[in-house]
Amino acid sequence: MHIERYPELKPGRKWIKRFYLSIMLWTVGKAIPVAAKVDKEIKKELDKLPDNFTLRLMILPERALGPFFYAKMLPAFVADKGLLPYGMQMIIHKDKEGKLHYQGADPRGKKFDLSMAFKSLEAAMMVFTFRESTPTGYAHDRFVVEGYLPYATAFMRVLDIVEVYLLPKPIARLAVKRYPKWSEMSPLRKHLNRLIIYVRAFTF
Amino acid sequence: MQIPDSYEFLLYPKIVSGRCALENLPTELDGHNAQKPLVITSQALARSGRTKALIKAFYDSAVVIGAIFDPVLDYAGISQARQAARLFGNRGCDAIIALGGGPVVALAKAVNLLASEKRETLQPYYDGTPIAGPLKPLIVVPSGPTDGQEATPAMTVDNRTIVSDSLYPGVFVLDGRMTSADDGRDLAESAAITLAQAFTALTMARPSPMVDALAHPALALLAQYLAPALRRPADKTAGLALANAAVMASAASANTGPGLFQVLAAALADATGICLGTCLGILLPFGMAALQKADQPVRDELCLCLAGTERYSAMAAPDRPVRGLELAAALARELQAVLPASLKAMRVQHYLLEPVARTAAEKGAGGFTADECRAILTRAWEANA
Repeated sequence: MHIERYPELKPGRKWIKRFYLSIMLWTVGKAIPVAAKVDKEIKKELDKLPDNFTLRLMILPERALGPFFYAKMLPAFVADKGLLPYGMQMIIHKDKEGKLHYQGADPRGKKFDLSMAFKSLEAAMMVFTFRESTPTGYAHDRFVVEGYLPYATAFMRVLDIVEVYLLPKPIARLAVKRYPKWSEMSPLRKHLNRLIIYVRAFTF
Repeated sequence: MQIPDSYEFLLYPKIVSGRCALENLPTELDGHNAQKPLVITSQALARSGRTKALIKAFYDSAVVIGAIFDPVLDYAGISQARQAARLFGNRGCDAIIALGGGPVVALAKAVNLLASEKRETLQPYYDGTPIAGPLKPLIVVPSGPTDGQEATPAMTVDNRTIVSDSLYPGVFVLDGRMTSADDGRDLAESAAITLAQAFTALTMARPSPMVDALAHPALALLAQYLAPALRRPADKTAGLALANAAVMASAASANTGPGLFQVLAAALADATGICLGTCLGILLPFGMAALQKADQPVRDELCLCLAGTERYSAMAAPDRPVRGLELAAALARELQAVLPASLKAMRVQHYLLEPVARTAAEKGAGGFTADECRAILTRAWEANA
């Protein structure tokens, strides 16, 4: 038997999907700390998390989907500002005063209290292209959770509300478990908060 | 429900099914601490482009595919197993992925045994030597026709069978992209095997709750999806449902042993060289008709899974066993639209029926008589229900 007849195969990369997902994680990551300031429901959910708490949402496998090359070149105090999409992770830290900070996508030197991971790039694409809502993805076993499960479910509820703010209604309907009624979230409040979140998250 | 006095059941394997299930392969391998699998598949599947879909599932993962070994035809032999085991060793692989069904999975089990135990032959295991330790991780991605042995602890190589609990595959990954059939005949043959296994498991003399838990959904899926799948074999949803049913029925069958239909069909397949699925497809309608005529008591559960909860509830309790058998027979008759209607049509010589009936009765170990087997074979030969 000629062993060369059966070559070794190194699977390729899906660069466009990687880029898209890094932008989505960056957008959501930047929006969560601001949304916690403007929305009482999000604040209530995040108050359940203890102080000095770090959580991350990432895509497996970590070894193959590490930070982008430019993120590795930056010093940690710059990368942790999260000014650009740095990779396939979203790290959020709750400090001692209970304030939330988006800390980019570089896990080096950080200890995570809650780590939620999509099992594969395609699983993350299903959720972030809104073919499956976040709770459906959770129910379909697309995530692996390391940490205290009630915190993970609280974070999923936060993600649900943030998606309502970030996305237009027709898309948000696909992304969330149940789109809030007028009585639950008035359109005026929704649009005003959306404006504040976008402006504050991506300006200062 | 009554708890039986005693029962044994080995709950294996893990099943990952649904959309994007194939992309879970790297995670499953990682769970087994493996990073370099050897993929074993058949020439037909390699030609149909399914290996390309499998390779794409590994994009953006840390996994390297050791090799894709694809010369398997419709027979698993020791020479190919030895070649693949050498390839496994030379490339430093640490897991096996079997893409396909029947001979591909049997070969993958043989390669796993040779590679894990570092042997050149399977002869000691045929002679009864136990398998020493745990084998390498084996993941099965079912595609194409099944022989009903995939989710069992058995493997048949060179027409000799080895049975050991170590041979159970660890994970089954069922994805619609892989399980949709290319042609109706393969699908009908696989469905016939699934129906026979699930029917036998559910109607066996000493029912166990675990066997019911697998046989019940297998039959319910067959009842719902067999007709659409036969109408359109490329239907992904129906294909996925039937593949799920096949794995469940196979796992249930591994814990119950073969029944009248399987033993008879296996003896017929050995004597005539016709494939097992076709034999079962021909025999099942006549076998079930014989059961109906014999007024054998059948459990109500058969009716429940084939008719559904609403129709079952609306039925009078004494009618349920009879109706269950009728529905099972109707399901078996659906297969005749694709498979040959009689043994005569398959050019089986009539003189072979007698030795086949005797062999089946001997293998059945008192479960049924040669007369019962002969009656079913004769009706199936003449196509006379």
